[in-house]
Amino acid sequence: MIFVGVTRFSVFQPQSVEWHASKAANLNEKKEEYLSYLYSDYRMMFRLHVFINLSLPILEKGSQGHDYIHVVQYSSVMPSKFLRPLKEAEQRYKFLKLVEVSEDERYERVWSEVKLFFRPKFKEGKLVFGFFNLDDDDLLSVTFFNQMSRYITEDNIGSYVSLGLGATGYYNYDDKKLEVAKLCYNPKINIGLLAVSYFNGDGFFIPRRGSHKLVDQEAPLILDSRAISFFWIRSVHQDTGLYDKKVSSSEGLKKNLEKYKRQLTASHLVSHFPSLASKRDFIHHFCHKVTRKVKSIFRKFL
Amino acid sequence: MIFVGMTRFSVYQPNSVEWNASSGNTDSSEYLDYLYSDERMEFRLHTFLELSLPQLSEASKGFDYIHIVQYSKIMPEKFRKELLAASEKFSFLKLIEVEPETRYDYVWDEVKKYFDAKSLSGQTPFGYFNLDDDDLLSTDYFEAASKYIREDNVGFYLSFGLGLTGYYDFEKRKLESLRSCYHPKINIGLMAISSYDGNEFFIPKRGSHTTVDHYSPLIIDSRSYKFFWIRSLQQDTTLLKTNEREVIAKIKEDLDRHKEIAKPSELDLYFPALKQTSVVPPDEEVVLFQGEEVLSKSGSVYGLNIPAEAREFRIKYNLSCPSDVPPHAALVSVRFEDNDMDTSVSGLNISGAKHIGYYRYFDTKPGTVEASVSFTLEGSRKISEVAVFRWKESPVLLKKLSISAK
Repeated sequence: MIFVGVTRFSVFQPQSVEWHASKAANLNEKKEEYLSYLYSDYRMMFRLHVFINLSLPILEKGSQGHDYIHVVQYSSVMPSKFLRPLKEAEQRYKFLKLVEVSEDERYERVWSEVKLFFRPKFKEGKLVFGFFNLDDDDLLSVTFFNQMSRYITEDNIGSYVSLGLGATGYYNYDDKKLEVAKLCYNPKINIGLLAVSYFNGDGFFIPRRGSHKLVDQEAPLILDSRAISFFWIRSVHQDTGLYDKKVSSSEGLKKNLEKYKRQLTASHLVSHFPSLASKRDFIHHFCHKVTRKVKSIFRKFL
Repeated sequence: MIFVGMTRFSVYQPNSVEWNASSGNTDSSEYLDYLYSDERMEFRLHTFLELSLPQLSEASKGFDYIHIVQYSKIMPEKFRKELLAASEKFSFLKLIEVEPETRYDYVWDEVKKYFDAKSLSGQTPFGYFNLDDDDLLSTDYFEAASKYIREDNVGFYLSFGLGLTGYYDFEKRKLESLRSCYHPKINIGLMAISSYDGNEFFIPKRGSHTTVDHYSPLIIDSRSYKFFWIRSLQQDTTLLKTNEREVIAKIKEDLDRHKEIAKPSELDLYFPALKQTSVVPPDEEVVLFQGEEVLSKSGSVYGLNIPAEAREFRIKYNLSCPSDVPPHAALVSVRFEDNDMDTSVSGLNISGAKHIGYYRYFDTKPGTVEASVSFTLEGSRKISEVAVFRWKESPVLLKKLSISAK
């Protein structure tokens, strides 16, 4: 199955409405201030860590057996010290493709890159694929690609697919530690929202949508919330804290997470988001598996 | 393409959670009195037989369709008679008498007979849905669902998330507070993409409709109006009504939280059974329209229910016309139940254009126009509709339209 993922890695676009950080800049009308916020070490080190150390290893594992390209857009004005780790990651992960964009550029160069990827595969008719955007601080689960595969069919072209069950939690970046992990039911969430699209040898068809919350008003939506498919990380290093003081502190974020009642188990963490799991989680998971095995052996004897 | 619908028509369930919960008692004779009270049943027979079935009949044209209606043996004869009459009229309807202990298998045996008569082979996907007796589906419901009923979608549910809702005044048969209702996973029209293998049915399991996507993949399509959620005084949910006015106010208050619909004409398009009919009592003026609407060439239609003995009519109108408006820039057309277009009517002209029929021009002149059109009927003709049309290019604004009869 073919998958195309796109990440805009802290792209500098003062006109963009996609970024909380850029909204603040518009308010202040100070490009310089925005630039220095956007590429502050505090913000960038966190994002590089999440994307490179947490997200990419999962994407690699999950995409095994699938045909996958993931395009990362970055700005020409991004300081080179942040570009270097991305370039290294591009060397390491075959599916990763970096594309530099200028201030007023949108997705043109991304799609010409994707076209190069499609050309050798295309024979005739429609080449169906799944397309998704992924923020640099969001994670997909190891099972995402397999879960999605059954829906990426010619009959479903024009539809969106949302896997509505996932997890969320508080990530302590200083200690590189997940401190809270809860199950999170959030249908139509933008993390992993996938468009069933096709390439016809010439161009791409990607169903249109407006807000992810109202995607079903513009296209048919397949919603499957049976298995965990995303991790929504909360951290003090994120842009949301700029506007909402409630979530600018770790206490505020943790308080916010109390509304999610169900815990994410160590087993789920290990099997779905191994890069987020601690040694303790692995031991826990391993012990749990052994206990189950032992129990089943005993059951045979009883 | 096969569709199976199922309605439990006020089935007597002594252990009904709703009854117990709302009344706080378990006296079954009281429950029976409530369940089969005239007020409750007349409303439900009206919505199901006169509103819902015509919708389903129109929607199912070109499809294979069976709709099972379960009813209780204990239901009074006078109500059963009406259901029976409907089953004569609508060939897709199949009535099944059930008792509290009747098993679901018994009901499905009827569906099986229907499938087996078709000599199908292999796996046959079909759409299955439950429908409450006071809910409506749009005339394009089956058409829209049909593209999702495929073998690779068997095991999925299908939810049409956009519909309409409004307060239905049962006494006056009048719809008020029409609103748009965006409600993905609503139980109205929630369809299970099922299959039949020549022997058994496979219907995907689900729990509550609100968590259906936790158990099965769910297709949500909310691109156009597919259901109508009727709100009325006569529904079970208003069982504890103390004060009618209060209940109505509450319903309307709730409706006001929903968005108004951009094009009210979509009601006629998707739910023609709900097309408005105004009851016009003798000697009373009934307002058909009040507000501001630029008249269109395709016309605005107002359904009427006027007592047959009324003979003298007066249609009053209030217009706002531009300064360069020509005479005869708009007109009112009167339609009769008998569709006869040859018999002359005193006070009305007959147009060669079929969609106009009996008409009178409005007295259009610059500025505000307040005037009326009177006419008299002979014999036993009954008016069914009044329609207003723009007749020239000049934009004419309708501000008020009313009718009285005696």
